[in-house]
Order: sequence, then structure tokens, then C-alpha cells
Amino acid sequence: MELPASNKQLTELYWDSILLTESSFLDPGHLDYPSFQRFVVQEVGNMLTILDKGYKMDSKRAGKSPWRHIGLSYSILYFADWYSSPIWCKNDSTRLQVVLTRNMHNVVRPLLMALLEYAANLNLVMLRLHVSRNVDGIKELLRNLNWLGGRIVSNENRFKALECLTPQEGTMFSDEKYVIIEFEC
Amino acid sequence: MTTLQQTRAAIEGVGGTLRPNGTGYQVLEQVQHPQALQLSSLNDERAHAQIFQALQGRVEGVNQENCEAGDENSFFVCDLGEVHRLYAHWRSKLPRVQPFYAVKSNPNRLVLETLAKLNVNFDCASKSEIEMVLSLGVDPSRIIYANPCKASSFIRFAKNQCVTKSTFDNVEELAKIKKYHPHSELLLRIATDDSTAKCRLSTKYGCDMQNVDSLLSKVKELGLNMVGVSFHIGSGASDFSTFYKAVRDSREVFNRASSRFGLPNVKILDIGGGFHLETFDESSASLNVALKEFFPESSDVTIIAEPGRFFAASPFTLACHVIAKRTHTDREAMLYINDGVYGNMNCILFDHQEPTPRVLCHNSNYHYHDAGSTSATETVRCPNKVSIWGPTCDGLDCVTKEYYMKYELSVGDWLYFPVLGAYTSSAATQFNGFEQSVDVIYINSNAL
Repeated sequence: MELPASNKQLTELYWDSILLTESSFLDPGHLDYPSFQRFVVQEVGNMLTILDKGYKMDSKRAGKSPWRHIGLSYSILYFADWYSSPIWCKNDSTRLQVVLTRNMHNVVRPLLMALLEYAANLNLVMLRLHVSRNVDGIKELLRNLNWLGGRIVSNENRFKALECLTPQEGTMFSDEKYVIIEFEC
Repeated sequence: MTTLQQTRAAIEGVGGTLRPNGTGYQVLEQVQHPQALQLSSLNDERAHAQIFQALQGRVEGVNQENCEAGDENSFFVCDLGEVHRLYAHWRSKLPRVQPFYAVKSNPNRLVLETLAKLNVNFDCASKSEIEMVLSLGVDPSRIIYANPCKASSFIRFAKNQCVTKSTFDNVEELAKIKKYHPHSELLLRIATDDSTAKCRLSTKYGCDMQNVDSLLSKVKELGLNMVGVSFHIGSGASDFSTFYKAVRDSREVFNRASSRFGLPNVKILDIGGGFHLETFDESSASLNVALKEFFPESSDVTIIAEPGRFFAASPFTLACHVIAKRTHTDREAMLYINDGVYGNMNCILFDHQEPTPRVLCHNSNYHYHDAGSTSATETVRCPNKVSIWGPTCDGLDCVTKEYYMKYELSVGDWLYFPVLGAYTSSAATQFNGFEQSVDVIYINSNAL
């Protein structure tokens, strides 16, 4: 869809979507927003340089949980019938990662269908949902998980993860507030 | 005692064990501790002897501290002989019903192979399940694709693999099928009353009877090939009159399809899944009554079902190792074991299963045959209260909040969980060092 906006506005929008997506994984104890912003900008910059120059990817990156990967492709999905604000997503070449923090009661199935169709349109093979543990409708989703063909993925073991993280990354981000669920696309 | 009472008695641990006698299963006496060993399986003493031997062999290897890396991990013992016994049991109770095994309940390759050789067909819910079943050499006509959330890519995949049978319950799905797989053989999934089921499905999946006509009309309008009607009463249902109502509703849909909408090929009734071994006598009896009334043999309708748990649960026994202990008082502790909801016990979180822990090995002594080694409630024999936790730091990773042990278990002891094959290893995940593949030791007690 063509947005009636200037390139500058679109660039700002894209940066906003990157920051808002990545802020979903901020550790609740990390309150220093400027340092988070600097870190994300630096990581996106690093990724752009790698892609632009064709440099080899840092081998430590492979050991990180997928949600920690910064500098992927970011999407804003807006389901006006169900939610008043957008859903933040990011994807690499195989997996769409979606953060769900709002009431899913009664929309589990259509929402899942929409996300599966979107992921399939991007030629991705996996859909990974990060669902807030206290969100309405999560039990409905978990109860039907076998039926829907999904599987639960364990949260990151932060202690083990420190082997491939900088101390800053280790303390800034976490996935503990989410139940992670994966679907084949 | 009637056969049904005998079966119940054996399952409840007051009679003995079950053994095939040609026409079904008879109850045998003289089992030392039937309550512990039965737990809704058809295993006889010989099978238990083999299961114990397999468990003991692995554990001794680990305890002698000469094991390979990973040997101390949790592991399953799978008795393929139990799969044969279950199939014979199914055939004896539901001779008219062709089972399509729900692969999602446990996609273990040897179990699939065993079932394929027994001429069981397959219910697949994903691309990988279809690929796995086809890789066994199973003809695509023996697969039904029953995923209720089929994205366009799934439908295209089914077409490419020549899998034609699939279910539907909404107009949007029909539109996608028309576009990507117009020659599908479609089964209309209707909603049932699943209010007594542990895992309710119809709440969200299945078309209400008042909307059936609009779907049939759409099938007709799009020129699609509807071949049957499907329902699922949910897993773990306790009110089997639901079967009667669902079969009656299905008959109504058959009638409407042919008389009102001129759909001539509706010849399959899919009665879904949700069958549990411990209630199978009751559920199959209710079902047979309904089938006889609404779909007698003369009706020329093929009856199929999608059992998963029925075939997957009792062949598997999981053994886990106590890796840590936090003692609260003399008689109360938290045990941490090397498996949990993110490994082979996903079923706790979203399948309402409550695995039954049993003591396998304590202080190098084996207690497989000791039914009194654990209890769900505090008893004189089992005074040691424990909660059992998986190895992650996650609060959801709780195997049981409260159980009572005869022995004061310590690190290095082993527990086992019988009847734990359904929705367990299939859901195990690989994440930060938790291995996806779990060791399975296979035995075949039928081969003795």
C-alpha cells in the first residue's frame, strides 16, 4: 500500500516500528531508555553494514535466541476489527516473530489464520508468537495448541545465554514475560 | 462380573491385569500391584517385565558412571506390542470404524510404521506430518488433512502431495480450497456439545447446525466435492451421550446434503477422536448404538475416526532422573527432574494431563513393581510430600504441585511416568540446550 507520506516520515515510521518492536523485549527492570535506543540503532547499523558490505555474520549471533536478533525486517500489522492499535512483528528469511499483548479471547483462530497467511505471503516457514503470560485468551490458545498444530517453545535460559551475549544485552532484554508458541507456515 | 465391570475393576486396580483372550481382554489375577502397573494400559505381566528390564538396563548404565554424554537424560521405553494390543482392542469394539491415527498425538516413526502395517490410516495436521507419513510409503489416499486452520500454503501443499481428504467448517476455507485444491474430497465438520470434554474443540471449531445449510449451499455453488461429515466430541469427554447426538446430527446433514442440495457423494462419516482407553468400553458402546440407529451397515456409509491418544499413550513410559532437591522440612521438598513441560511433558500445560510419578530407583534399589511407592494423597506409607519441577527456571515448568513418596528421594534417584506417550514427545522443543530428540528404547512384548 502506498502511504501518503514523505520519505523522511516513512523513515521515521520505520525507526519507530523497530524501536517499538524491540522494546517489547526490554527487561522490566531496565529503565534506561536512551541506552536501549543507542543499542538498537547501533545493532541495526551493524546489520546494515554487514548486508551492504557482504561481511560474514558474527558467529555468536547464531547462538542467540531469535527474538534477540535486531536489524531484521519489521512489519506493522493493523487488524482494525479486533484491535485499536497495531501489532509489531519482525522476520528473518525463515521466521515471522509477532508480539501479542492484547486480549485474544474470541479471536484466536482468525488472528492465527491472518498471521499464518501473512507469514506464508512472505515465503516464511515458521510463525513464532510471543504472547504475554497474563493476556486474556492465552489459555484458550494453549488448550487448543495441539489441535492447531502449534508447539510451545521454552523461554531463554539467560544464564546459559550469557555465553554469547554482551553484559549489556544480557541485562537489557528478556523474554520471560512471554509464552512462546511456534507454528509451521 | 460383566466384561465392562471386569475392565473397570482391572483399571481401578481391584481385579488384576488384562490379557487378550481371542475375543477381547480377560482379567487375570495375581498381579502384585495392579494399581500402579495398569494405569489404563493393556500391558500384561510379560510386558511389564520387559519394560522394567529396559528401564533398569539404562539406569544401571548411568549409575555405574560409565555412561556416554546424554545417557543420563530422560528416556522413553516404548512397547510396540502394546500398539498391536490396542489395535486388536479397537477392532473388537468398533469393527466398523476405520481408524485414522492422529499423528500429532505422537509422530514416533516406529509407532507410525507399526500402525501403517496394521492398515491404520492417518490424520495429519501439518505439512511435516504429511511428509513423514508419505515417507513411510503410505498412499496419500490413506491420509486425511484435518487441520482446522489451513492457510493457503497448507492447501497448496496438500494438493501437491495428492492428499485429497480434508475437513472444513467455514466459507472462507471453501473459497481457498476452490482456488488451490478444487478436487479435494471434503468433509464438513459440525460442532458438537463438548461441554464435558477436558479439551473442548467445538467451542471454536465446527459449524453449528443452523449454519450447515449455508455451507452446503456454498459447496454446491462452488462445485466442490463434499464426501462426508465429521465431528469431534473433544478429548476426555465424560458424557458419551454426546456421541449419540453428534451421530444423529450427522445423519441430518447427510439427509440435507442429498435431498436439499443434491450432493451425491456424501458417503463418509468421520467420528473424530478423543478416545481414552480407560473409557473406551463406554464410548464405543454409545457409539455403536448410535451408528446402528442412524448409519446401519445397510446404509453403505464408510465410518472413520481420528484416534490419537488411544494408540499413543499407553505404549510409552518415561523415565526421569532427580537432578536437584530443595528441602523445606523433614517431610517436604521440591524435586527437580531432568524433564518437564518444555521437554516431554508439554501435555501438562495444554493437554490437561497429570502424569503419575512412580519411584523407579532409590538408593540403587528398584521399585518398579511397588504400587505403594507414591500416592496422590498423604498416606502412612507415603509421608514424604514433594512438588516436582522441570529443569528450566520457568514457573510454568511444574510437573506436579503435590505428591507423596514412600521414600525420601534424593539427587540421582529415578522416577518413571507410565502411560505418557500422548502429546508428549511430539511437542518437545529444542531451545538453549534442551534437546529435542529423546531416546526411546523399543521393546515388543508381543514378540515373546
